[in-house]
Order: sequence, then C-alpha cells, then structure tokens
Amino acid sequence: MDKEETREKKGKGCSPLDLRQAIRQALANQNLGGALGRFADAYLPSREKVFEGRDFAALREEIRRVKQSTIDYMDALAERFTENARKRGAVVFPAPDAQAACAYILELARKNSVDFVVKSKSMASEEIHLNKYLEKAGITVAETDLGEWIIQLCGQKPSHMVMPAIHLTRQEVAEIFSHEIKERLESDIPRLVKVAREQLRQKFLTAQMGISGANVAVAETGTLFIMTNEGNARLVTTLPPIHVVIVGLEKLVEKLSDAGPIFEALPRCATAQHLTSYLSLITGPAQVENIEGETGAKELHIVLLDNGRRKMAADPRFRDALRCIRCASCLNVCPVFALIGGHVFGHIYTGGIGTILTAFFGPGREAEDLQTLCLGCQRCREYCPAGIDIPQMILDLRERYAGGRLLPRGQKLFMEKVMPNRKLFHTILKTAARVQKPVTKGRPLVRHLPLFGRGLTEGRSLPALADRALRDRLGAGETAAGQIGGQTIRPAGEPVQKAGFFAGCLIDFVYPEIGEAVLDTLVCLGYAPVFPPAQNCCGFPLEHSGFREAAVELAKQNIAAFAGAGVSVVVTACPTCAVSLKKSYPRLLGDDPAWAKQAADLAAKVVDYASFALHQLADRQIEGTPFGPVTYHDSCHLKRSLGVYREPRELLVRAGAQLQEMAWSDRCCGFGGSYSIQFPELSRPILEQKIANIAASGARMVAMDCPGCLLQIRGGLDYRDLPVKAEHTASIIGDILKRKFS
Amino acid sequence: MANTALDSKAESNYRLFARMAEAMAAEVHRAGNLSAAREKLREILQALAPRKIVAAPGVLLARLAPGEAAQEAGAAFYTEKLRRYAPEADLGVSEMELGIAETGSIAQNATDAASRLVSTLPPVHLAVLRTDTIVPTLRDAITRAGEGGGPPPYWTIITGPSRTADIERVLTIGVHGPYRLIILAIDNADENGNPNG
Ligand code: SF4
Ligand code: SF4
Repeated sequence: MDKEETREKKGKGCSPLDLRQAIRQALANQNLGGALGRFADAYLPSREKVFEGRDFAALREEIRRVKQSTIDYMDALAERFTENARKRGAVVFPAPDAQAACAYILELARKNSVDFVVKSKSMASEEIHLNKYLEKAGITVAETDLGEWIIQLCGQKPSHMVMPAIHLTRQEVAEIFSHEIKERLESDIPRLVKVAREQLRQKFLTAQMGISGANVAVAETGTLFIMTNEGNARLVTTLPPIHVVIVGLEKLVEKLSDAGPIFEALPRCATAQHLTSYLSLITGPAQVENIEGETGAKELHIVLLDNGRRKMAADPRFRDALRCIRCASCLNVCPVFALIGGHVFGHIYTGGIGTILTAFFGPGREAEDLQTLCLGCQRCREYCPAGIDIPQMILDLRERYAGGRLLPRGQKLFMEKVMPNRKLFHTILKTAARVQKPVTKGRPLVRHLPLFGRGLTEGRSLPALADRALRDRLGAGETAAGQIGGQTIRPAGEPVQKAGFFAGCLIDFVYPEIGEAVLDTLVCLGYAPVFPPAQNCCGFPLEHSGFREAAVELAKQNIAAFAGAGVSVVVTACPTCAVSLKKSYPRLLGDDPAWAKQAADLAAKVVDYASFALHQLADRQIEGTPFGPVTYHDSCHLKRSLGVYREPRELLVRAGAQLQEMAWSDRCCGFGGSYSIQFPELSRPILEQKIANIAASGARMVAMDCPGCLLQIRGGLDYRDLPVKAEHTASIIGDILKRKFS
Repeated sequence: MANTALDSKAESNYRLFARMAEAMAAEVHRAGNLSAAREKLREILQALAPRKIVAAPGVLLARLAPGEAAQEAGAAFYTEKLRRYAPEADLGVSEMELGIAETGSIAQNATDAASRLVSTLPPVHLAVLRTDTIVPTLRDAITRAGEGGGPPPYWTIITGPSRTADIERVLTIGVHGPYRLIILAIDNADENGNPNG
C-alpha cells in the first residue's frame, strides 16, 4: 500500500529499487502467498469442471470474432450504441478521457444535489480515479462489492481483478470491520458477511445515485449487461433514482447475441461458475419507486469511455488487448502473479494483461516496470478466452520501453554490442571456459552466456561452461557427420539427406554432450548432420530484453548460416531457439523484403528434437532396456508455443521409460532466460515448487526437452542433494540409439 | 383433465434445470397443477413462518392466491408501497418468465420496480414459474430477452441466492440479496387444470 502511494505521488514508473522492495514485501507476506498459491492450485480443476462438455477452442474463436469487430468498428459501434441508447431514453456522454468522465459525473451529482453515492464494482471507475474525484468535491462514495468495500475501508487497492481483497485474511477483515462499526468482531466469515450486509443495506437505501460498470454494451439495442454474484449491482441499479454506468469503448458489441459467448466464458473463467447469481440487461431507464410508493422512470446516464482505447485500437501491435473480457484467467494461471499478487504485478488492472492496459489507459509510466515481471512462460495465452497473446505484447512493450532497464549495465552492453559480433562473443566464452575453474556448488560460473549476468541466483547450482564447446568438438569443417558403425534405421542404399542442427548457446557452450546426442540421433535416423559454424545465439534473450535490433541482426546471421547448407530440415534441441527461428524470425523480418522469404523458408524447416525423432521412427520400436520410473517436465516454449508434449513422452516410453507424471508438469520451472537473473527472488520459489513436484512423483529421473529448464532443474535438484537425475530427452534417446546401431 | 404431462423435451429441460439450480444452492419444488401448487405454497409459508411478505403482481402468481396463503400463515401481505415494505419483509414473492436449463437460472422482465424490490431486499425470495417455459441455454434466454423490438428496460437472470467468496475465497451465501432462493415450478398452470382455462 505504501508503495502504491509512492507510485501515485510520483505519477510515473517507480524505480527498479521500489519494485524490488515491493517484491520483497509481497514475498514476505505469508497471507498473500498462501491465498494466491491455494487459489492457483484450486482454480484449474474447478474451471475444467465447468467447461466440461464445452468446446473451449470454439468458444474462444467466437469471442475473438465478436471482439475483433469491436476493435475494427469501434467508432461505428459507439455511434450506433449512442443512438439506440438515446432512443430508449438514456443520456449518453462520450468521455474522451478520465477528466471528462469524472467532471461529467460530478456535474450530474451537483445538479441533482447528490451527496451520497453507492457503487458496484467497476474497473473503469477505478481507472479514472472517480472516487477520489467525487470525494474531493465533498460527495461520499460507498463501494458495495464486499471485496471493494473492504479495500475501501482500509484505504488499499484491489490486488486482483475479480477478487480484490484476496490478499487479506479473515482476521484482517474482522479488524477492519471492527474499526468501522466500533464493535469487537470475531473473525467468523459468515458473521463478517452479515455485518457487511447490514452496514451496506443502509447505504443502498439512502444513496441518491448509483454508479456501476458494465460487462458488455450492445450497439444494436443500446443494452448494457451487468454481472454480479452478490446482488449489489441490482440494488445499485434499483434503489437510487439516478443510475450512472461507466463503460469502456472496448465493451461494445454489435448484436445482442454477441453477448452469448462472452457470458458463457466469463463466469466459467473468472470464478468457475456456470453463471453468476445475477446477470442484468439494462436498456434505457427502468422504473424507480420512492418511499411513498410513487413510481417514475429512472435517470440513466451512460459514460462511454475512451481514455486511451481508441489509441490502442489504432495500434497494430496492441489492439488485440481490447478483446479482453476481464475474466482474470491470465492472473489465475500466472506463476509470477501467484507469488506476488496484483499490488506489485499490476497497477489498477493487474497481471500481464493489466500491464498492457495500464500502458494505454493511464497517464503514468507504471507499465514500464511492470512489464519486466513477466517471465514469458506463455501460460496465460493458453487460458485466455479471448485468445490474446499477452506475452508477445509484453515483449513489444519491453521493446517500446527500450528494455533491459533492470539489467546491469555491463550485461546490457554485452547483449547489444558483443553478442551480434559472433567471433568476439565466442572468443569471450572460450576464454571464460578456461579461467572459470574450479567448480563449486552454488557459485556463479556461466556468467558470460547471454542469460547470465553478475547477480546470479541462489537456490540452484550452476554448471560450468564446457571445456570444449560443441563447435570445437566437431572440428573445423563445414559439415560434420558423426560416424556410428555405419548402420542406420534406413534400408541400405537409400539416399542420405542432410539435416541441419541448430545448437543454441546453452547446448553449444554448456551442454555440448546434448548436441552430440542430437547428432548421433540424426546419424542413426539415416541423416547426414550439418552444423554450420557461423550459427550464433538465436537472439531470443535479446528480443526478450527489449533489444530488437540486436535480435534482428542475429536472425540474419543464422538465416545466412543455414542458407547454403542444403538441408531439408533444421533440428534443434532447444525449444526456445525453435520458437525464435520458427516464430520470431518471420515476425522480426516480415517487413524486410530482402529477408522475409528467407526467414519464412528457414522457419518452415525448423523442428524440435522430439517431434523429429518420433516422426522419423514412425512405428519402429527403439527397444531400449526398460529403465525405472521417469517423470516429464513440459517446457513452456515446447508445450505452449509449439504445442509439443505428446511426442517426447511417447519417445521415452518407446525407449523403455515407465512414465510417472508429476503434478503440474506444465508449470514453469522459473528459468525464463535472463528472468532468473533479474528476479532471482521470484525465480527461486517457482523452481522450488517444481522441485517439490518432481520429488513427489517418486521418479528417479526427470526428462525434459529444454537445456534452459535442464540448467534450472538440475541445479535445483543438485542444490538440494536430491537423488533424482535430470536429463534432456535427446541424451536419453541418442544414447540408446547409438548403442543400438554401433 | 388433470396434470397434462410435459413433452419429453420439456421434461428433460426441467430435470437439468432442477439439478443445476440445486447445485447453485436454490431450492426447487415442482407442482403438477395449480391446486398442487397452492398446497406447496402453503407448505412453504408454514415452514418459513414469515411475518411480512411482499409480492410483485403477476398473472400466474394471482392464480396461486398468495394473499390467502399468507393470511393462513399469519403473515402481513403487501403488494404496494414495496419500496417501504420490502426492506423489512421476511419473504419476497414474484413470478418468472422463463427458466434456463443449462445454468439452473430463472429470468424475468424486471422493468417494474416491484419485481426487483421483492427479489433483492428480503432474505428469502420465492419465485414461481411454469415448467414449460424452461429454455435449454443462456443464449436462448438472451434471444428471448430481445424479442419484440429489443429488450425491455430491465431484464434479469437470477441463478441461486446471492453469494460471495471475497473473504479468503470462502463461499458464503447471502450477501446483499436473498440468502435463500426457493423456486416453485408448475407444470400445468391453467385454472382447473384445463389447458384452455
Ligand atoms: S507469460 Fe507467464 S509470466 Fe508472463 S504474464 Fe503470462 S503467465 Fe505471467
Ligand atoms: S487477457 Fe484474456 S484471460 Fe486475461 S482477463 Fe482478459 S480475457 Fe481474461
């Protein structure tokens, strides 16, 4: 809370130091961690249950379509909505910004001698800081959503878009209420809720104006949809004679039926309910009754809020964020949010999407710090019912804010200047490899890789740079075809095709043995492997730190490296590199006529190790000797960005593994590239959860397909001296194939 | 003719409706015809023993003669000046236009202040509806709301009693709205059980 105030006062982004301090405080807050952690565990199973029998992908597509036309036709829809709502008797005020919206509402209140207002939850009203504005003018505003009221009473800010007071315990609420009603209250939840009912009931009955938000505004009918569980919105819209609705332009849809998919998804995603207790459709003023029993028409005012939305709609990189239906799924599945909550990871709108909205809807620069908190695990994208690519937008934001703000200066320089110069970069790495010894547990040793700076994390042991990098083990030749016995899975005489291998920094310089296993695999599968030595870092860490130009330079180098290699396929055992080559390059170079086609060509050839190996094996068995129980960790980029999770499992099973799934196999390990360096305090607890899940699986080996995850998880296991081996799938499979064919 | 059976579609709609509504903590009763419904209403009032009842007028509700049942139960019964009486009433009674099977919801045109006052302020809300008005999906209900030249000024969909999980995510029933939602579904709501009556 203190921090929020500091931020507010400064009216711009807080310094990295403030952010660190806020993180530290949030992590130290046991309630918050406990509540958020328990919720994160409970959320997905209950959500799955309410989606049973429903096609989430189809629903998401429907919502995407509906909201896409909201963005494409925002002005036309606003016009139609205004016309139709007016026809039905509402007063519509188009508010260009927060100031205009607040001023309109205050003026309306003054005209009607209103001094007491009840409000139901409205994020738009929080966005424009309406309460403060009205209170300064002497008007009392009571929040009536239970969570919001608690927050209002103790002068805090909501920490979650759907559950604003999730960070407070019942004891704290009891204290807050006791203070309010000047009576000692026990921390009994039903009793506390009852107190809230009694207290707020009086307010509903005496308020002269009700203010609410809306979830959807329908252009063709002028209808507003308002959804609540507590019933406060029904009272806010029923009892006072004046009702003001603040609704953002992004809530517009064309037809009444467009609301269908939104309300099918919203309660299921937000609170795992089939439907909330109340859903009201308001179209023009309804009837109001006074204490004498006289009835008349209400006054209905609709404030149609722009406040950055049109600007967002016009921005090709960020416009999709306007599809957001504020269901908070993305917060509920975010590993970072689960640790620190919305007070740190968020401003008014919280989490990843909150960061993006904050960048457009607020005058300050809060988003500049917030964007650094996303570790790019892609989890939110998978669960967003509006199909918003939050991590990509955060990346774009990072670039816009000229990223790497929290990185040490030296590392920034290293990323921007050294890495694009491959020779220099690799010379530094090789020199470092020579001088790094001896290796000691827990000591930072790989600091010269792009992902590692000086401030290395505790809580995991780090590997040393390999004595000899993969590129040196392979010799100087352009092509290096490892020879294993000469036999392959292919019938003799079949022409041998060339397969390219993209190693990536971690395999090249830290885990060359994984690279060798990949090459062995390629040979056994009947390919002639090609390792173009001009290949460099894939550029992903640079792009993710906001150094777009340096990333573009690396993309070009790698495209050129493979251009003349005559390969039909490019295999990589690093999912992050795969995503970079397959997805980022076409995006980074899509507008460059000299490179766009080449980028697309390379992208089409890139395949991850497990998919390639399984595809090549077709229905052949590997016939490995059965080995003990193995659990599998899904790397974020492999599962979420590439959709690959079945393939490595099948490979392992075919090789004789007895698969023993861990809980939450697809939760991030906390590595996130440079993230674990920037925010070791966040990376570490995420790793700890992962290690606990691995240990609980009972397996003696954990397999995975990402050298980054391997570094993180192997380091975590070693640090805790757990007798579980961590291996890359390629090491396991390559070894078996090699034994078989040699 | 008594108790005309519902067709199988309506019957399965009702089954799902009742299951979902109960899962949302509503209490669901069913009556085959009006006289059974009156009897049910009497039972409900006996059990609740309210002192004050407020009711929003409605055609279906009138057929149940709730005023008489209230008198029998010894309760004061108000159908006017509800803004005054509803805050102190123990029970609010109203009729619904339709039910939604997939969510166990009930819905109505709530443009008249009365219909909202009786269903928001008292701690218990008793809603009556015709079993054959239950539609399969939420989308059906939204379509219905828009029929005839657009939605009325206020259309409400209610699913179970008022609830919150805002303190420690513990589900607590009954915040600002009713603690209890009692639904009485009537299969044949025509006078004397006569479909044309
Ligand atoms: S990508 Fe991962 S860390 Fe970033 S906002 Fe999404 S869930 Fe959170
Ligand atoms: S971004 Fe997607 S998941 Fe997050 S609140 Fe918006 S709609 Fe929900």
